[in-house]
Amino acid sequence: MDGPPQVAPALRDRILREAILGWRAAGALGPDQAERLLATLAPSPAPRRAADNERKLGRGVTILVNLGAIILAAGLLIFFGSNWIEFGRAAKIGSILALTLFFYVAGFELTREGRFSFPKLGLALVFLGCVMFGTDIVLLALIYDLTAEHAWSFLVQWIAWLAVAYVVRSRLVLFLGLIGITTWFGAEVGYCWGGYWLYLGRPFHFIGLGVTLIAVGGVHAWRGRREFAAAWALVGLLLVYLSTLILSIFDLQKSFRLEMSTAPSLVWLLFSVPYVLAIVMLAVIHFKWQRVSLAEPPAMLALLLLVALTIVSVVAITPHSRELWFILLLTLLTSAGIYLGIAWESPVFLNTSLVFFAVNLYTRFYEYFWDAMPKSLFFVVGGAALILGGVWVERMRRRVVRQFGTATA
Amino acid sequence: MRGLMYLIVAAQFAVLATIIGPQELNRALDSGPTVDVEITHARAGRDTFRGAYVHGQSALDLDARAVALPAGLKAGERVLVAFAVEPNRRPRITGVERGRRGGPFTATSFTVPGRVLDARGGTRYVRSEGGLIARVGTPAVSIVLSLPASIAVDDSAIGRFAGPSLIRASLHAGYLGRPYFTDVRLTGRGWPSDVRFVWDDQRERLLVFAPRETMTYVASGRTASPSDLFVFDAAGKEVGTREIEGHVLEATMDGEGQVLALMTSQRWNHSEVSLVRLDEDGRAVERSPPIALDRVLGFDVASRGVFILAGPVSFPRKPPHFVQRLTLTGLREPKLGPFESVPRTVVSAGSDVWVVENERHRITRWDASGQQTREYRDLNGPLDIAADAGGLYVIEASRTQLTRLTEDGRVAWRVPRFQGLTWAVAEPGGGGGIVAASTFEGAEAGLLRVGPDGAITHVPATARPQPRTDWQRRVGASVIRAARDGRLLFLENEAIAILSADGSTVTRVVGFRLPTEQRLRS
Repeated sequence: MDGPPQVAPALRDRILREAILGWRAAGALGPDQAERLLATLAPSPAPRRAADNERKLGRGVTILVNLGAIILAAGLLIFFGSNWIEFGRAAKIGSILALTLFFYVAGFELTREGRFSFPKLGLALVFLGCVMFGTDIVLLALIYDLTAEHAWSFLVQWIAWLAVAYVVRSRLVLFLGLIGITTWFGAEVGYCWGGYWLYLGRPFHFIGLGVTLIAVGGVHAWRGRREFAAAWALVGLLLVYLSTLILSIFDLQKSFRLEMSTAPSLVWLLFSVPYVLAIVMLAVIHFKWQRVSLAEPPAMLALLLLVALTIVSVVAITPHSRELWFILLLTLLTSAGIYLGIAWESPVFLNTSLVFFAVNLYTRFYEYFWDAMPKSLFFVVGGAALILGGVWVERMRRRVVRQFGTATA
Repeated sequence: MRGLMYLIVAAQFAVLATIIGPQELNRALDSGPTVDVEITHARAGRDTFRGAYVHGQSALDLDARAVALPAGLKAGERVLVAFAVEPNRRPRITGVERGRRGGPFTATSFTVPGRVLDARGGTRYVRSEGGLIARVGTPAVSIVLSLPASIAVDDSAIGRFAGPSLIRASLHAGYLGRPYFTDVRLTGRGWPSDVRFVWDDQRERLLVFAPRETMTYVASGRTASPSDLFVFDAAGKEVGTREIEGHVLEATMDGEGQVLALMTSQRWNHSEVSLVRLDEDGRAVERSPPIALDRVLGFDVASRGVFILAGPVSFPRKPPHFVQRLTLTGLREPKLGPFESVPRTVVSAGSDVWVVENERHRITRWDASGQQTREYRDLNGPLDIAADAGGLYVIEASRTQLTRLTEDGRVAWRVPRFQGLTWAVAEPGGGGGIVAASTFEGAEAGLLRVGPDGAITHVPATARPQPRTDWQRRVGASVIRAARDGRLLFLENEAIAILSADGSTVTRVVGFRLPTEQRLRS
């Protein structure tokens, strides 16, 4: 303990900075000398703190503005709900159109691209405009006794919503658009088979849609638009995981299978081509990208696709109950999602996959142990496992985050 | 960026304009008269997207086999279907011509655009797309009419629907030829599929029991599912309505002119019922202990009770089986039996009782003392019977055959080649009877008269009795004959039909009309 007393670096810099400024004021140091000495110190924390403060303030404003938008929307909803019967047809149509136009114009003019710079409020109003557009179609159908024979209204809505989302760069509107796509797809699938607008009896279709949305998210990530990529990936992952979870409980689409004796050669070709592509992909990675090991994301992705395709093939030719295969598929997909989430440092992949991994485990726990165990024991074991599992996952997550930090340093 | 944003907004408004524009033009420039159209069996629904609405079956007469069609009609072709409006009858089709836009409505006629679904007619599957379908010409061509399949109503109107209802709405031609409804009113209650009715010969009244199809009684803490008793006079005019606590599953009139009913407190769970005597206001004045419904085999008007399968309940039921009377005061002797199989139904007339054993292909007749007086064999799965002084009419062979048994148990005649024989009723004086069937010898049947020698002829009036399947066992009668004037009362799919004694006319009671119409849309 013979060395100089330990002083916090920030405190030391502040003392030195005040001393240099004092010496300059007293004329002991020239302006240039003072500037050079100040330059040797760490930059003043004031701007960083100010930025932090501004960000915190901005977050507060965002919450306030969004809250205000929700309350405003609720107020309008209640007003129209309470007085809708009193309105004549012209008043009804006029009011909904005027409201839509107001939300769009006022909202856009308040965004960064508009005349006034209240971007948070602007985006919230644009979002309300988008909701109003969908509501307009519904209300007009109601006013004119129109019966939808096709899902065209959903199609028009999500196209409009996505266009607005990209123009004003709003993730909130993007989520609305993605919900619109899912709804429209459900309506298309349902109407085709006489079902209703969101037909949950066809999870295979939604797996296809989910994969497509994830792929679009991948394109966004590749183009450097990670914020939008996360939204696409999240909705895609939810669709894939939810559909697989449903299939792991009920084998709903039993007709989705391959009759080996009657399958045409085209089907066999379609079955075999992905395997060839996956093998070629692995070979290219192994021989051309020598520095990429088989444990890294590109190779793991190819391996995952290979295994997933194998399971899909087995599912297609299994003549009896296939729930076990879907359990295996869900486990594989969520595990791969966790791995990719860590590898790509993607919270969307990591968190969504972790949640569904746990949901998968608990579904199996319920299926196999609900009848076999006393209910008290069932809940004790379930609760304890949840707590221990949560602690373990949190420890893992912290270790991973530390590794990220080390790697960055 | 501003230009792009406003372009997108403009595109959205253009979409909305394509919805509003034609509809507004269609209505704004339409100045023609309207036609009031009744919709029977209307039910209310609520859709997340469309809000509250009603849908049902139009009271338009869409069966026009006698109407000529333009030559060479093809599937998908647009046509105009002309209707005639006449007093005291449903609007009927008078003609079909090619075209898209009809002329304005008049006081006696209107047109509705339509599209040919299947030009070849016949039995080919027709996709309805939810619209009304007219069957025109011979062979029949299916034409889907461009009328709204449902009509929006105010959300608050949903609560006024206590089951299938009667609706009236004004139909407009529309300037662009798109018909639309306005001024929707609730005019009355229709009949649910499990409606029951009795005929009160003493007071000449029709009593209809209609369970309410609403779950509000659960929320209101009521213990029993409510029903409504609707009272009509002899001419089918509304007299009054009462509320009944409970669900009437079957009913008949006893010898003293009071209603004897099998009732349960639940709307959908009918496993246990009670025999109940109702007073004129629909109040239960006497009630038996609960009994399993599947043990009840038929009413016994003379003893003011029901025939039940006697003995303790065991599954599977093992022979020997016995039949006993259950009255409001308890079980009554004698026991009828033993029977080798569980009887399907028991019918009584005066002091005589007939027990139908479907599985054993036999019918037995018993007297008041419980002695078997006759056994009828040589049958093929008898399902229902109708007795008269001269013998029995038996519906058998999966409702495809009618057999006449004489008093001494011989088969007088058999008439096969029916489909969906629903009921048979003997005519007074042993002069044959009337039967209801879906088809006879491959042709649509409805009501048919059976001569004493088994000759089948069509009844002049057209009716479509409600069909029944083998598993639909009824405790009460499917058809009632009014003692005073010989009229027959039976169920059609949406109405209680009253056939005049000479079979020439049918009066339909489609529902109970309210004294004042209630607007369903503001």
